[in-house]
Amino acid sequence: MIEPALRFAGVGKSYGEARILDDLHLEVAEGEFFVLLGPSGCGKTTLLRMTAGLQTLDRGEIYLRGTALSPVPPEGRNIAMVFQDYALYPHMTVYQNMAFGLRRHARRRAETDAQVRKTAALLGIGALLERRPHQLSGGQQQRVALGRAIVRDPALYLMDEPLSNLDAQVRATVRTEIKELQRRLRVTTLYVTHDQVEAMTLADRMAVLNEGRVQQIGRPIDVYRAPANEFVAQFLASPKLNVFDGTLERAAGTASVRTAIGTFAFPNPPSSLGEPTALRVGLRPEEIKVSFPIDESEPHLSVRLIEPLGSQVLVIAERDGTQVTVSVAADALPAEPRRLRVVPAGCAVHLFDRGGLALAHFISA
Amino acid sequence: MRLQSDRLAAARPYLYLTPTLLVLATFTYLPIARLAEMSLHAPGTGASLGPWIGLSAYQKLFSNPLFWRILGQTFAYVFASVPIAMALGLGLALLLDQPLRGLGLLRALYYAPVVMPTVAVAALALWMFNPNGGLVDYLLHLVGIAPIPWLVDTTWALPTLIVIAVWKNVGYYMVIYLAGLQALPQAVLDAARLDGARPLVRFFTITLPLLRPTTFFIGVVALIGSFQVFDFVNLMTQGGPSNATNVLVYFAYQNGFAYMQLGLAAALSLVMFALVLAILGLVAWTFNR
Repeated sequence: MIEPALRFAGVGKSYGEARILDDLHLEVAEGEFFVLLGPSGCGKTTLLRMTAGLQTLDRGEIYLRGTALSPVPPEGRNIAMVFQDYALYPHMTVYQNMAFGLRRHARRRAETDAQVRKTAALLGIGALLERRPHQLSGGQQQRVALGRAIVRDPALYLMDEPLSNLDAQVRATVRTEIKELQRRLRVTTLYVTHDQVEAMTLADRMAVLNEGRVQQIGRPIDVYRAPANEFVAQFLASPKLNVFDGTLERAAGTASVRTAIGTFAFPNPPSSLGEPTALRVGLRPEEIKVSFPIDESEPHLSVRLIEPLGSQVLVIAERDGTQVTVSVAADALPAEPRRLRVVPAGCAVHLFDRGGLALAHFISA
Repeated sequence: MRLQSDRLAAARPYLYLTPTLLVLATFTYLPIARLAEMSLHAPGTGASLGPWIGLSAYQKLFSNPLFWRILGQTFAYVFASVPIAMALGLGLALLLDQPLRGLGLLRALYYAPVVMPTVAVAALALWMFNPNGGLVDYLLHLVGIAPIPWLVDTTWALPTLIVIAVWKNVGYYMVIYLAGLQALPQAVLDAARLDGARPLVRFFTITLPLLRPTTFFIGVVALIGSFQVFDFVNLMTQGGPSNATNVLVYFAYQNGFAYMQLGLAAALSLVMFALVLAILGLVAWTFNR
């Protein structure tokens, strides 16, 4: 077996009674962009800080290229970290910020100089080298922070929500830059975020964390298509997952799922699915097929609210206390829609048992 | 109309500043001007001034070798006690800047001398440094060191005074440094660790430069305070033995109120004022560069 670049073996951390992380196992391959995704308080930042050595482990061990990290202080780990609030050295110029780590590793001055200038050029901050951090915009500061990490050529990058202090436009730009850089440099990266869009766009693979436990590990698209449980489905949904109580009804060879907003035909149900009659049915707003009937006699929900997002529009509709949120293309929306019908065929349906564990995912026929 | 209200708006801040300026003028600026006036006149009777004598008070002052000796002693006192107290204050702050049990109690203990009345501190110090069975000499005796005559010896008196002043002030500097340390951005220090900087390097390349505003503030407060040292001298040594602990303010006090040389005392006060101003200017210039 090839030793992965980074391995978490049964890592645990508690603060008093509170278990922050519980028996966590993860492996990150060399050169992989790995995202830890989860809500605040799920333990993702703790995990990152433990990897950096800024916090201690209570149980388990972290291995970097096969070496146990616990005995190594942060100063000796050859890991670079990018912080949420940039954490640049405020009294140093951009150049000095980037050269600081190189100096510590006792390189020759000329070599340091060449390295800093090359990295600055790569990040497009070559013209800023003599500025101080307070003279830079947020996006520029985060580029410098990236540069400070890259210039040292470390074994691992840690990124702690590096985009969350940037405004929306800059965030998208820097996000693209981070991805391009990582593709180019191929340094193993562990990236923490609570933003599912960042996770989806950046990750080679990701782990969804909740309450100190790994909920699911996989490629973003696989996690999106087949969330392991209701929490993961909910967390990857934007704005929110529609969840209904449902019943599974089997007939010869086929099955269907009946809910308050409609009945979804389930082609080729796996035999493993057994006979759970009562279950929970999740539908993402963007994965529901709808129409806007004019005729009042058709069964329908009443439109309560329209939220335009630009090219997409969120429509919130209701019937008998059951509410559903759907996302439709703006140009498919009639003027002043009053009635909404869920088209049962072609919806992506996620089935969970009563405990929230995923049972099956299918496109309704 | 419009113009008038604009003028009023422009004048308003100055209106608000007037009360403070009036108080400062009455109790600070006018006395300084009066001091200058006094230094240029012969002593009169009561509040009135004698005849104009020009700069002869200054001439008299500068030609007095005792003035130069006392100036040197004042500088020695200031430039020994301030850096030592600041360094110790920073050191204590660094020790206390961690999640310790009973931290509040420790902080209070180190701060206690600051809130103690100077008279009490002086009395305590006189007893501790008493050459006839004082605590310090007793402790030295226990480790086999011969008793030192402390405040009654011309060589030892000034250093002893410095030690006592440091002891009294260090808690104040410690508290301010501690506040400065706790306001430092932790992520920046973390970043330096990951950049491979070990504790000593971190202290000199990150912590100390980031504490610059704190150091500047403490430095200014400490310099002004120590140049004005009077009470310890007055309470413990009265400038003695043979002027070994005499400092500028005490010398001015002696001239003005013991020898009734008000013109000389005024000149001395103004010289000191100019000196402190010049030194603070130098400090500010160094820090703002």
